[in-house]
Amino acid sequence: MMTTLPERRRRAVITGIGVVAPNGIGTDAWWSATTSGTSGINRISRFDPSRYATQFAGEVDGFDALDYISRRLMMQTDRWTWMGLAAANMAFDDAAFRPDDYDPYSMSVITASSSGGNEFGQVEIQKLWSKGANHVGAYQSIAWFYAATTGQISIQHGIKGASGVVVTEGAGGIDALAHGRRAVFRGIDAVVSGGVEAPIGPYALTCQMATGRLSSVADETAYRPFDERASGYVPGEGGAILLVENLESAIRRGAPTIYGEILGYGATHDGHHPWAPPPDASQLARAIKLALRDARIEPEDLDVVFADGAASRAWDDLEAQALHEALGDHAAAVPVSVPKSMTGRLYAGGASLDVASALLAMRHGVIPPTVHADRPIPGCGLDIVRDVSRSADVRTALVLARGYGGFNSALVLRRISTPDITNDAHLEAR
Amino acid sequence: MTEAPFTYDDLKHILVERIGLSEAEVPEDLDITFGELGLDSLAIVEVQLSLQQDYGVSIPDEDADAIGTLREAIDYTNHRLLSVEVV
Repeated sequence: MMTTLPERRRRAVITGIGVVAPNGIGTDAWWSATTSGTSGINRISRFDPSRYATQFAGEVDGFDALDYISRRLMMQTDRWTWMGLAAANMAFDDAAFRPDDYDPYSMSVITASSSGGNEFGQVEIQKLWSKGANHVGAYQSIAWFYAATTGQISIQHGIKGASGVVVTEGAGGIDALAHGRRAVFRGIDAVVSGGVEAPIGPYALTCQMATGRLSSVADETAYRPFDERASGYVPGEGGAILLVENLESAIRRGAPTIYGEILGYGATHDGHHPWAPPPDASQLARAIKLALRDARIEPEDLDVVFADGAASRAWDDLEAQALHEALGDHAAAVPVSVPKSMTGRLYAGGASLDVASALLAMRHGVIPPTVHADRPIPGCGLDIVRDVSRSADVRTALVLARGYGGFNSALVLRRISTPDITNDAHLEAR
Repeated sequence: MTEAPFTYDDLKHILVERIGLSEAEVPEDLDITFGELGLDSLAIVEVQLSLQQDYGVSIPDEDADAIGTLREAIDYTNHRLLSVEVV
């Protein structure tokens, strides 16, 4: 018997993945690199970094925006938006979803950004101080600001449902997906979500260096999460754009792949200090507990954790503490990985790329590794997946992300198996 | 007669370099409008800024609103450039 579902029973699932990452453009290339432990971190090549304390980063080599968008659109937008538009196209293709086929108001775009259009802004600011205000181009008005990528995706694809941008630094990729899930609960059928970032330029890098959290080690092993040699993180560019759909609509249209469900979400704020680490891990732990409760699961249900992995002793210790506090005995048993050790931290793009990793781990039964972290910090009590990927039956995953300024976010994802889809009863399961 | 200082090729250069049109997209027909070329209001501001930055011709908004075709833009710019020379 078909019934109209109450809105709170709608379920948000991910049906399309688009990746632009330092170790691979496109999901297949990136996943192949990620599971084989191939890093995309190298000496910065897009400008001369020799005068900068940070000289290594995860750059996306070989990315040509013209493969995805027109030259005219390219002139109006930043590299970050090029990557967002490219990843959105890939996600639509992966999901076999054509926005033109649907009511424009049934779709939304909700992405994360933590720094906007850096490179475009730098060029225009240089014109401002070298030539004067009349020399700033008109497109500066739409290219630099945080909502530009959301806006351009909505314009290019005719998406007119309530849309937005989330600005919570490294937590943004999770927060955007959680907003996307909420949009589905409120009646939207498809949401383009996730995040990308393009922060590898002189101006943007200078802003990041001021945080004191970047590694100044000048080699490709500089980013070592949960390792006793941790010296800070390496920045990177890129990210993942995902298509979030209402499960029922995805089934009805015959979506080729339902990677998994966004089952639970928790977000907290340290409320302690703009940049200093909090005195304890209670707020990150609370975010994890909120996500588990929202997902209606127990810690023992988790098959993998994709950790934030800040790669500084203080922040890594806090994350380990949070996992022990929130997961109890299971914290020592569940595999933990930080694949971003192969890409650098992608800010708003990082967590959505980790969500893509979690979904593909479920699909392929393999957990990608944390590289360059073979000397675990003593007593952290976590089972870090090191060096090489590990086979595992992954049904439920936890993704953690922290954002500069005190943001903590946790997302629980669950695999959706074929019987779930073929059995109509699942629609009323919750 | 003074040779026109601002030519079709100059305008074409702006449309290619600042707006991102391909060479082939800029028509020989000077009576086509910027709107027909797919330029929105922001793109027209960019053309305006380009004329100001590269040729020193500041175009008041009310004049810009009256310019519809490529020919009108070329004629207007030349008129302004030549009258500045006279003064």
